[in-house]
Amino acid sequence: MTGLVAHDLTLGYGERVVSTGLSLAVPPGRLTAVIGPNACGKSTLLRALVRLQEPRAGRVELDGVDLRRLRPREVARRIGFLPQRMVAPEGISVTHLVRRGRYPHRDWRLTWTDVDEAAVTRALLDTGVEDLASRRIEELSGGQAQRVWLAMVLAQETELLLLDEPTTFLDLAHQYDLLRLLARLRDAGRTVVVVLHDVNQAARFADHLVAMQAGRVVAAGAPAEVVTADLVEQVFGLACEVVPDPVAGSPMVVAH
Amino acid sequence: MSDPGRRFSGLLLALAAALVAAAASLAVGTRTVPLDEVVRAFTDYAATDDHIVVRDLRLPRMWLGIAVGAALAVSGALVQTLTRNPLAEPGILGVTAGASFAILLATALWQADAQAAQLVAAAVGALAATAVVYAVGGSSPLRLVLAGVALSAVLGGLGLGIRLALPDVFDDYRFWSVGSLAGRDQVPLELPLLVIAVGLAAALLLVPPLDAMLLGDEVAHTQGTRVARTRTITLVVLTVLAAAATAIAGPILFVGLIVPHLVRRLTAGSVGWLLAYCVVLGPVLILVSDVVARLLLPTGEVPVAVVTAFVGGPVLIWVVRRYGAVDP
Ligand SMILES: Nc1ncnc2c1ncn2[C@@H]1O[C@H](COP(=O)(O)OP(=O)(O)OP(=O)(O)O)[C@@H](O)[C@H]1O
Ligand SMILES: [Mg+2]
Repeated sequence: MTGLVAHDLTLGYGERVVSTGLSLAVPPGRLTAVIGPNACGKSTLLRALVRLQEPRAGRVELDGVDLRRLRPREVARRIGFLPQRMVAPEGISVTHLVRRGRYPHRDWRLTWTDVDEAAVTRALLDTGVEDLASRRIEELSGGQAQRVWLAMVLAQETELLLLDEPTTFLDLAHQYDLLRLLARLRDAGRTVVVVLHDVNQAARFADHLVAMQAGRVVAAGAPAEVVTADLVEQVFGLACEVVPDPVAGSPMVVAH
Repeated sequence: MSDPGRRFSGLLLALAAALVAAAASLAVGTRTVPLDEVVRAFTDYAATDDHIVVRDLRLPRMWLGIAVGAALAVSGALVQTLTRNPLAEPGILGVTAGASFAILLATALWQADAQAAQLVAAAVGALAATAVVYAVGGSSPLRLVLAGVALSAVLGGLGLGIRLALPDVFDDYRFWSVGSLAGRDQVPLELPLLVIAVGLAAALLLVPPLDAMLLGDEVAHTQGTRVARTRTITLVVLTVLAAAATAIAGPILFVGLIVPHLVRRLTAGSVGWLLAYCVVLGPVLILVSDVVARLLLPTGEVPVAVVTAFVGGPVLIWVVRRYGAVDP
């Protein structure tokens, strides 16, 4: 099986078990959105997919090879991950931070190549933070910082991108900018997995939708099939109507 | 000026300061040797009293100061980076307490008051204490610090007991405990110096993974850094450096707190620059303190530890007041 696949994972922290028997196949070259209520285990799943979280049982495979058998550097060249929360060291400039994304590609001599420079420039442009390049990260607004972090992950130029709530701090226009950027990356052949809280945005932009609840995958498939009033009621406990989005025609949730 | 430009010129300035400090440490003392005579001691050695003082007494002491200063500053930079705590110094991992207690114990049990014996005892004590701290603290920085503080308290109490019960022991211990470079030149120092050199080289290899870890363990991990392994190796390297320096020069770990803290705002976000500055400025602080110590009390020895605190403390206060504190 190609791409990133999770088989029968048991995940947890200490005593707390978050997921059991969790399986998931990430369709290659597609934009996958993960939705689900707070604390249902979305971040935990993503962490397991990038090996930040050791599964108690089960395994994660990349192109049929157990992730644990791959070298960390090798994985880092193929999977990029944006965590939900970031720590920035004080005093580092935006450019320097984005350059850090090239770390997995550099050899022991740490030479900086034209390829590295081009990747950084493209990442700054794609996320619209080129004007911030010389600013210090701690002087940025929440949304600016979030786009800079995304730029760092983009500069890593991985075929797979896993993003945990990249739109949280963004205003409405920037949320759509980001979603369109993800669609462009998908069109360019990358595989994108993104955790979103806005079901309507997820339904509109994703090719593949994964709905989670209490650590399990409740439904997975094309948004038009997955997003139903019953499912939203079941997953989020919200009574609603699902109508076609007047612009895109994708399913749109309107609460009662 | 751009950040890299400022860092580079700053480092040149620091190197110049190091040269001046090294020259002063060769020239100044009970017997002040003029600078041209210092130069002649190397270019045109004539075995005059001046030349002998410079080459046989002060030169080894200078190298000692450089090694100890670099080791302590780099060790402090590593512990501050690892624990993300700008007030951390290697002593919080139990190094100082272990060395002090081992010297007391060795003196009490075997009258091991010779310098060489003290050196060995300090090294063994520092390493043993750190091993205990790691065994208890595992790989969590916070638990390590707690274990270090707890062990230091216990050893401090036991040590005090020994000193009160056996007043003779106290006199021998006192000399080491105040921290000094004097007289350390009469013992074989090749081993600790070699250990420091290896430790500094190892620290250099840790720069890329530590740089990645500045962005948090998660990001470092997803960028391909082996986080747990890097943390373990860093702990070992910083302990070995601090233990070697402590064994040679006594508990002058204040250097490990202040030097990385002072250069922090210039080197923010880059472990490589931080270590480069520490390697240069650690020796400056030690050498200047040693020279001041010789000037203050030409006959006896004013311990370096006392002077580093006198010199470094006010500088630290000034920097914090002027620029505010900076997180690692
Ligand atoms: N570091 C941790 N230690 C212990 N428990 C944790 C930890 N991180 C998360 N959990 C718990 O695991 C469960 C799943 O958390 P997770 O972060 O995966 O949720 P999520 O779906 O991403 O939620 P959100 O939408 O709020 O981000 C929650 O009950 C949470 O409290
Ligand atoms: Mg989450």
